[in-house]
Amino acid sequence: MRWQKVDIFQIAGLGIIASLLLVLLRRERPEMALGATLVAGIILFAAILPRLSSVVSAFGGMASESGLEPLYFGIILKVLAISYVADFAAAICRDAGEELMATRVEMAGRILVLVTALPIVQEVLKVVRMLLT
Amino acid sequence: MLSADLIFKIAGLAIIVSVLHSVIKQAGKEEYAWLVTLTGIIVVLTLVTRLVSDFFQSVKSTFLLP
Repeated sequence: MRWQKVDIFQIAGLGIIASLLLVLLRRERPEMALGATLVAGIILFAAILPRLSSVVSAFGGMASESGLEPLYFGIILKVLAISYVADFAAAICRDAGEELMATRVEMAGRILVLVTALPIVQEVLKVVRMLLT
Repeated sequence: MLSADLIFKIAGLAIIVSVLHSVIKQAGKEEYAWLVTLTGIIVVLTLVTRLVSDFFQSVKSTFLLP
């Protein structure tokens, strides 16, 4: 299978086949079903990442053309990556039935997003203060 | 890294472990059956850990993170 130019039919087929297999596995070996779920999720996610990277580079070009500070674009990308990974991990935890782990991972993701976006918030506040005085 | 084979590998491993488990259980060796299950879990965990690490690396490189 060629993953560089993945299309929706490959993704849909893999998802359906993995689901069929997982229904079979979950009854017999729930712990192995979790491993297979993780692998299927990673493969589906990673298959679509190369497509996303072209979007990222396109936006990077647009940002540098519009004269945006390069630091801000880096922060946006970092926030995106944090939210994607946190969402993925939380979905895996929730699938295993561990709601507590899922909420903790999501909370950690939110805090990290807040910390990462702090320079932008400070910049906005500075601009507001400048406008007021 | 990216191949759907790993899903089928894990499914096959689960079926083999399941069969071994029930055979050993029928033979009356409960503790060995448990050991077989544990070994299966460790093998799956090893496979999955490598994949997760590769996945995180590729996410990092996609979002241009250091």
